[in-house]
Amino acid sequence: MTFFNPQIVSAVLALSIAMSIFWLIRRDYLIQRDGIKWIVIALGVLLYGINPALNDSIGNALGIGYPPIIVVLIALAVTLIKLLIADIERAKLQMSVTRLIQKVAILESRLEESLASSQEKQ
Amino acid sequence: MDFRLAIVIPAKNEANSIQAVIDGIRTLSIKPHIIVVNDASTDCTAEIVKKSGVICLNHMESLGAWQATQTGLIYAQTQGYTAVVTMDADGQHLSSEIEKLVAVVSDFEAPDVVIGACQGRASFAKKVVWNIFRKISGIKIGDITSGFRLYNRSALALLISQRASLLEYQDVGVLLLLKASGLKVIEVQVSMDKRYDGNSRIFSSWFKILYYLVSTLLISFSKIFHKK
Repeated sequence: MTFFNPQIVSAVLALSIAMSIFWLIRRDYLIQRDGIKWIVIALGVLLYGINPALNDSIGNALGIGYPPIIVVLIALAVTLIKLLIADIERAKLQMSVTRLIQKVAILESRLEESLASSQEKQ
Repeated sequence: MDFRLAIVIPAKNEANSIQAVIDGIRTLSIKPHIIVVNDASTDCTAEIVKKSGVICLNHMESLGAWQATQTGLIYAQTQGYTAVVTMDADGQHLSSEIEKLVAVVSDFEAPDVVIGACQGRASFAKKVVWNIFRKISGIKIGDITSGFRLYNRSALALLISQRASLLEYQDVGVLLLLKASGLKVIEVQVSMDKRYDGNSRIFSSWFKILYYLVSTLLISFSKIFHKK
């Protein structure tokens, strides 16, 4: 008999992660759109952590010989998709920053021009 | 509509040459307006430009030569210029050749873009690379990297769009965008000062050369079948 019951360890871990996510949402550290996504993730982690045998059931149903790999595969796929989305978002942000720098340069020049012309009139 | 010409010059740390470029343009009989885009220079480029009394647009952060050019194009478009000539600040492009580009757009069947071409300035290796890019992208332009160009209002409207903001270099990407939009691009042979290399920043290290080649090949491939 092992000292720790693996189900308790995974349940405690899952509960800590889920509670941290809920706390972050409650304190508005995450924007609303991300909040919904993270609540779903937190519930998934909670479900999986409390009942790890779920892994074996899914593995058997899908005919996967080594069920623990499911979690690794899902984690890798989600990470890759997330990286892709992050790059798309970065491209959008980069474009916004570029346009802002360009607009600031133009507005600054116009401001200087109008200040100079108003000083000339005086 | 009256013909109003602006010269857009992107400049980053060009304190040694920018005054001579401005003075050269001022000797022209067509008297164009000069717009210098200071791409966050760390030397006294901005001070020299301001003292010379031409329009100076200052980027608070360096965005690169194409984005600096685009800032000038946006400014020119909003100010109602009918044509814009872009040229380098390092003195490679000769102001005396601007009139050759302008002469073409006064024709009845005027093109939308006139490229001042000087293939003689390229080394053998560059010519080989240009040929590969031409073959892959289907661009029929001889001097694909020349930044000495004239754009009319149709070309300006296209090149100030957000689509054009994502381009990193003004060569193949811009030419592909012009081609996909059905704009007429022609070349005019011009002389350039061979003491300078307009792409020196792009080709300043082997890593940058490799990055430029790969990214240009990628854009050439990705836009092969891309239409408007």
